[in-house]
Amino acid sequence: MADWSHLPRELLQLIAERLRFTFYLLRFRSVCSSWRSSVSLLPHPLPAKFPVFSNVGTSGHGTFCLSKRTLFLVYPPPSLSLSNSDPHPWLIKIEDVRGQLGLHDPLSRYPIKPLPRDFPRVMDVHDLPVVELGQEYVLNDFSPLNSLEDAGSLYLEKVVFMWLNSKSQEFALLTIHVSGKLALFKSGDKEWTIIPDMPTPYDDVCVFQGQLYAVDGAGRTVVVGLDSSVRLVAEPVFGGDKKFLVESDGQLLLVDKYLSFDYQSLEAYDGFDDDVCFGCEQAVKFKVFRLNEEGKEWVELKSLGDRVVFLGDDCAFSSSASDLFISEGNRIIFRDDYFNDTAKENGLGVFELDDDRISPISDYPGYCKLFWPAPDWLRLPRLRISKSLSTCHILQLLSLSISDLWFM
Amino acid sequence: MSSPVEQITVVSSDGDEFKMTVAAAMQSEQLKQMLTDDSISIVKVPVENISTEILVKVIEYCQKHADHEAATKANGGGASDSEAEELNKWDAEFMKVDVEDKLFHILMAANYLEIKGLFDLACQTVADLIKGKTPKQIRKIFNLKNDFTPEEQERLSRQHNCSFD
Repeated sequence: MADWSHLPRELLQLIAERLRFTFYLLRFRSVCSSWRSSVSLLPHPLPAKFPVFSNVGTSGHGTFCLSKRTLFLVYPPPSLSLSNSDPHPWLIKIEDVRGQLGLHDPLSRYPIKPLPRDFPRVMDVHDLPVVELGQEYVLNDFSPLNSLEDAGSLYLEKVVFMWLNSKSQEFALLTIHVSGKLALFKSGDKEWTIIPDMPTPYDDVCVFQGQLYAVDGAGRTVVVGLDSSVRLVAEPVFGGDKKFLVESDGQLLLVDKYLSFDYQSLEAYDGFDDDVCFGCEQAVKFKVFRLNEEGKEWVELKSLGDRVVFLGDDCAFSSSASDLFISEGNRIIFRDDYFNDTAKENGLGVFELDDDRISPISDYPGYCKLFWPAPDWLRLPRLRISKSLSTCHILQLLSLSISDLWFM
Repeated sequence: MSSPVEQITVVSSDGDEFKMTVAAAMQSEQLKQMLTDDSISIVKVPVENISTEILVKVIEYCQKHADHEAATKANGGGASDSEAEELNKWDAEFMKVDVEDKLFHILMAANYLEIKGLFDLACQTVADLIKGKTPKQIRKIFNLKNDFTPEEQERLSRQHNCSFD
């Protein structure tokens, strides 16, 4: 019988490197003493302040604050017998703003406030299998203590963050400037660098395999170097109205969202100026592409197979249908104001690649269960309940992975 | 210059001998260095740390990947997507081994013989077994004991349990 506790230190380190997310690393270090001592964790506080863009709005001076939110799939404890309960996982997004924690709607930028009074208690988090799906970064242009109270940041473009070097705390931030151009900020910079390259305004940015990627409205995709250079990785696809980049199962995918503008609502507003336009954009179709690096092109994917892609306001991530405890994948779950009519729909729609069909998420009970409200297994009687347990403590338990960083 | 070697023989720690084509042997940096060094004439290469059971698996991996490389070269360069996918599927099946024993030894053998592809594959397989699991589950999978001192255990418990009055 092999003795995994005696795996050489260098090998343990190489394995730990492949765990990718800090959360898994923390669990790795909780297994046994030889595994714990093979890998150390350097606390990396997120850089606090960034200068605002100098030409934006009325404020020429001021700073942005960076918030990080992490997406988790939380599963019931393996020790719990669940004969009367559905063991499906719960998809959550947690924000840790200097010790103050907030639970967010996974696909929107808004916190879930207020939390219901009967929000269930959680027992030993140590015993909950957790899969980390990704992170989301948001630039807030006011003090972080307010960020949980307010409706959201005024800065609405996607932001991505990357540590360049695990030891030296060097980082890079990429976002889309209001002009549609890319803006890069590296540790040590005094100002953002606006990258002039822009045949078409940029739609999305992402980090993939340690590099910064950006896609414009036509689908032209580039890699942004730390020297602000831009290297073409795929020619445009044109097609739809909004492009997203998302990683799925180790591959980079392009998701192209086709929108139609709903003019029906105009008729409801008599007496308003002709110039005033009401209505909302509605997603009518999506196309998915995978990257052919050699040919520098996006190749259409007819099916996502077992994968499910999630498109949020500030994040894009994926999971497998089997990890989600759902029978079928090949779907895109997306935020769309069109579906915001009822609380039940949560502003979420589902696109089936099989037949190009869009429906509200309420048509898919299996997917609904992933989101709010919390699943039944969190309320099971075996879990210890304390009346004085504040919601802050509950969230603290769930996101111990993040704050653990400071203690281990 | 000696005549080109077509095959080499490797000897497991159990004393069993196996023939490997040169192409397969070249998957291992260690064996590759021996083969490309004209001053060494190779008869049999003992691999002391590797048992017969594991050596058979390692040779299987090396041969498959050597064949894939040769086929790719014959097609003039890049492997097609379907060929790459087929190899990935083969790798995934290949790594379906018991964790308690084979996976550990394959990892060690790939490290010892410096077979990058197999080493990366084994490391990733281990990492994939860890992701998403609780520490208890990880211990069970890898047959590890919770050997933290009472003080360390107390610290871990305090962080993960709620004990509010």
